[in-house]
Amino acid sequence: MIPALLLAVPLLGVIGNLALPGRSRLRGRLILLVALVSLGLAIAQERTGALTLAVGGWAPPHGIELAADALSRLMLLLNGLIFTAAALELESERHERPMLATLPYALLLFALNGLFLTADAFDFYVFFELVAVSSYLLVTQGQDHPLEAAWKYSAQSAVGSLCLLTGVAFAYGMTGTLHMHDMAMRLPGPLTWAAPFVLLSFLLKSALFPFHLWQPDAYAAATTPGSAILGGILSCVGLYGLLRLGPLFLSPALHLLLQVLGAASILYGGIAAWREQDAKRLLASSSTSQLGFVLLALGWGSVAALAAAILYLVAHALGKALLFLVIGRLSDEAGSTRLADLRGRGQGRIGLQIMGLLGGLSLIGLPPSAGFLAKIALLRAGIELGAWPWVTVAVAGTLMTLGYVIRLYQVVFLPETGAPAPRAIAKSGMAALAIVLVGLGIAGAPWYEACQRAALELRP
Amino acid sequence: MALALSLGVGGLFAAGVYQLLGREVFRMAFGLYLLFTAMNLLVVSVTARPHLQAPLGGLSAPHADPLAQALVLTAVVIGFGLSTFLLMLAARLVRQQESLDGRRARRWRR
Repeated sequence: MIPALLLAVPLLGVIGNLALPGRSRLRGRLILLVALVSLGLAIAQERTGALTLAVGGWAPPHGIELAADALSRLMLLLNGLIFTAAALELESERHERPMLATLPYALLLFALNGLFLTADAFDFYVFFELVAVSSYLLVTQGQDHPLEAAWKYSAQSAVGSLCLLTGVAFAYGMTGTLHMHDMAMRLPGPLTWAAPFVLLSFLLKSALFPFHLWQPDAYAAATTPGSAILGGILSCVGLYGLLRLGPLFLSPALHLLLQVLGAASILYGGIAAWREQDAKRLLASSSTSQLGFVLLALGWGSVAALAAAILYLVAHALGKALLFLVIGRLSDEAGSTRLADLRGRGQGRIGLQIMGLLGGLSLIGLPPSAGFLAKIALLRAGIELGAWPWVTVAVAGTLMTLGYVIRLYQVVFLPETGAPAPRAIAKSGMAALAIVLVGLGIAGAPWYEACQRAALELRP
Repeated sequence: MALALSLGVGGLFAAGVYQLLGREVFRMAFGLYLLFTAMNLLVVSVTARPHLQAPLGGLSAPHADPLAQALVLTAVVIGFGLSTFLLMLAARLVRQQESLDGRRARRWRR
């Protein structure tokens, strides 16, 4: 029942959004309500454990199945949490066109819940495409040259979605089934010749090197809650797909390719973030670098490395969403996202300063934050495998992260400007994310075990 | 049949990529639409294989696999919808830029 509700409630949110009268300001509250219910359902789901639902009563593998395994449950929790934080921010904003500004959020919540729940490969493609189109819409509603950014993003991402369709069709042609688990059973070995399609699609979606070109524009164009959603949960989508569908397509030789691309992403993203003169674009390039760590761990492929990859994915999503909310709040006040215009804007704002510091610490991988646990697990998995060159790259990437986070922090929070006293603002969304981030860092055992369970389920 | 389908996919794909690499936004959107069509044809050709049968009702060889047709139908609808969205976006972009050239956008050059 819960899996069906996780789809039905956001869909009701979409319908409600369209049904409300044109200028109604209730829309932000509706999104918040839907996100909270979705978070509650995800928590209930986590407490009941694995649940499957054969849609329409057709038994799998012929019917479509919604299955909430450990990885799905984790992603659903993350999705609910980030949407709640973003909706708190969205709700406090004023919009000229409330319907267009809020509709993408309801659609994205629905599509992402579906993507994380489905066990059917073609449904996965459909939800993937729905996520993509909703996020184009989200970018078009942004503030900084949104149309160009959306065009660049959608033209590149459309090619990626096409490639996913092709990969799924090849797998169906070889096996005669669409149920992911059944597919893995029936395939004699990985479909290496169809792998380029799937890889292209997933690397493009998570903006990993060399398919990251659309990403800084799109993130910088989006509004504050929009960039929190894009940088937080949407950047996970490609890597989630790789975790799910990867085993069907990737041979050992391609695992080496994943490691190479992961290392290249870490270094390229780090350098790009270091050179960036715009706060939001800096955070966007940092996503390329951070998700490179996840790709590297996926390439290692051991159970410990997979668990570390999932830990890292979750920690990055939380930290990045928090940083986008903090920087977005400051840049909304400054009317610009350029670092030069943000100089000293956060000076004397203790709340924002603490949130920014926590997000930064998590990104670098320092205690007391979720990022610390993830980074340790990742480095340990690499050392266990004796992959010293890659571990060196990971450490270098961490030092780069340290560099650009300190730079961002220094510019935004430290200089004395003698600016007028800051007005009081609601920070509940950021606070929720920060509390979870620290909580996972201090008492991370259940989270760690959940990731380990997810990794074991993926590689039986 | 296989040869005709392969030639069709290849031709459409080549035309689509050629259009996509151009500078004008409408041509790019149209190129993407051609790519969608090429991929739909590809899905038809890889799923129309004799060992795939209708999974229910025990129908065998001369019956086509209905699931493959359902997939292509869905993909056609998605491709059409997405192309419409891209064309609308291109139209808005052209009106804003007063130029068909996507690269004249300030952001595009970065």
